[in-house]
Amino acid sequence: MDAPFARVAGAILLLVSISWNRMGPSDSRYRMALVIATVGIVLVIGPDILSPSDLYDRFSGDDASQDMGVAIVHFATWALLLAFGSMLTIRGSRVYGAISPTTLFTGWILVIFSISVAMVFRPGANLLDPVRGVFSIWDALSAAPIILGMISGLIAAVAIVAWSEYSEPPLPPTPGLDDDERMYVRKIVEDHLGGVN
Amino acid sequence: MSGPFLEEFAAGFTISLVWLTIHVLSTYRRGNTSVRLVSISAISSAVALYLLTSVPHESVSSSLKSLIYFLALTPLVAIPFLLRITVSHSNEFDPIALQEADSVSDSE
Repeated sequence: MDAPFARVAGAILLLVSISWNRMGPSDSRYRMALVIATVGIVLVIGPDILSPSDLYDRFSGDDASQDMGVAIVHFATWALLLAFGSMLTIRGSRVYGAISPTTLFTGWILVIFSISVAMVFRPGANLLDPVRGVFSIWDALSAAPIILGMISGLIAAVAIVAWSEYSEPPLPPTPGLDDDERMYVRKIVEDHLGGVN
Repeated sequence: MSGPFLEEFAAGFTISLVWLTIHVLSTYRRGNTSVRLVSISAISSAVALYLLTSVPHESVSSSLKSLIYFLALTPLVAIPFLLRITVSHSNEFDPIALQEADSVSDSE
């Protein structure tokens, strides 16, 4: 499997995993979301990670900013740090239970490290020169056409969804829960509330 | 880093439509998902991908690299939300708080 094909396949699997994760625990596909995401990540960065010595040369080369593999590995590094950091920060905060200073601190360290990798560290000849490697807002603005295209595509997607919903007859009302279903839902809710009646 | 405007715009437009199609197909439920939605999103994605084949490969690759570079702003955008969660004192899933809220709603 060549690298571009693997990256596209991995990106599709990552998008599928996001959709499956959003389906919720009631659907069996929800349980596969994490597995699919892992396979997707391996496919996206695997071809570049598997040859670390070659990757370092490409990271520090003059044309590193033009190398798609380098750009993806750089992106994946700060994105994974941000994802794990955010997860730990949320789990360590008081929102979902007792506050955990250690988890909170570790989470924030990962988030700050993610910002450093994303904004300061930049692949290229100035790999270890933080002043030359600082994120440039003008370079970021070169993405304006593709961002505008994505926003336009999003508007078109919303229009397609709205049109398909309005053009189909409404579904009949869902029948109410029977006694077994009601007891099952009650048990799940009680279990999640820790036995509160 | 950037190519002609329309080529990069087309790449972005196609990404959104393909994303919609992937979402609709992967979350398909017989009887719940609109067949019309599946058809229209698949056809529009196919047309967008077909049109994108006339765009030079270098231009698509360049616009994707620009997008990846732009996304480096994401951690900065996430910071205010994480700060708010960190300083928050509310525990939305505390059983005692839920019980109190439940008794208040019962008394009303």
